[in-house]
Amino acid sequence: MLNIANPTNFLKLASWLVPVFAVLTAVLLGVGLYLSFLAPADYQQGETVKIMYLHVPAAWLSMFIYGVMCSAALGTLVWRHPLADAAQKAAAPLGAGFTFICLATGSLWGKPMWGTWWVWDARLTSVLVLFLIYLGLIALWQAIEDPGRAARAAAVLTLVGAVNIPIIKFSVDWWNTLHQPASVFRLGGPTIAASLLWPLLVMALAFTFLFLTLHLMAIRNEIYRRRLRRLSILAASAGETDLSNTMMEPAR
Amino acid sequence: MTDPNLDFIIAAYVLGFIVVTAMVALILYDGISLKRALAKVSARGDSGTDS
Repeated sequence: MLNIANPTNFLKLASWLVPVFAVLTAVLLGVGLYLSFLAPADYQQGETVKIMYLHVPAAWLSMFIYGVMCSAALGTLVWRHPLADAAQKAAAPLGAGFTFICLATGSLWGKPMWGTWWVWDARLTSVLVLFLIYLGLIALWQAIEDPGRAARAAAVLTLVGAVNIPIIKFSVDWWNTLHQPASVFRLGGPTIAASLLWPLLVMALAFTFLFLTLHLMAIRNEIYRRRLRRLSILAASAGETDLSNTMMEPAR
Repeated sequence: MTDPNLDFIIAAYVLGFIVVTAMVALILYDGISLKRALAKVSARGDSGTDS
């Protein structure tokens, strides 16, 4: 079996997975958008329901990506998997991007439907907190120069922040919110009409493949960045050795 | 499609398109510049061992 913990093996795997996932993403996005625009108008929301085909997949991904980051954080702290911290670092900006899409499209839906761009209800506020956690993690990676220390600190913060995920999911059940309760992933089955549900599921799948494609590409970039860092350190230390041999005794 | 909220629908899709395109472009740009820098460092290493 191919050991993908080895960065070279991972690069080989990514070199053929990225084009396959990219084509799947393009096809699914094309089909999803086509179905979305053919879908009937909602009896209450009218055509504004079309914003949901963007908002719901982005919301689903914002939590899914955090789940991926939590797994990677465990991989870093418990198993010290060599690619776990690269996967975690690569996922954070993507998580921030999809959470931003979720918040912004939700706001663009809220203005005509609720009459306001924003309310401080539990669902919206907890998703905003998720967005801030993503930004905090990106800042943490930038602030600590040593990649090993940055990875461990980010892993701890990611696992602490995981408490927000069930809060997001169940906020609509635990508190009285303006945001509607779950209508797709619920125990009694979806409450949406099939004609509106299918485009939503195809778009959710398209967004998931979009994330997988971008995540693989970003992990690959992270491996290149580490190689570059290692080569630069080697080049710098080789330069120092030359200097110490020719000019002076090394300090003790 | 004639909907009183058409502006909001278009704005949502344009915004989604811009954010996704920006993410794709940034990752592609990052990859290209890293590959270029790696090639430069490797070439410097090769010329260093040759000399």
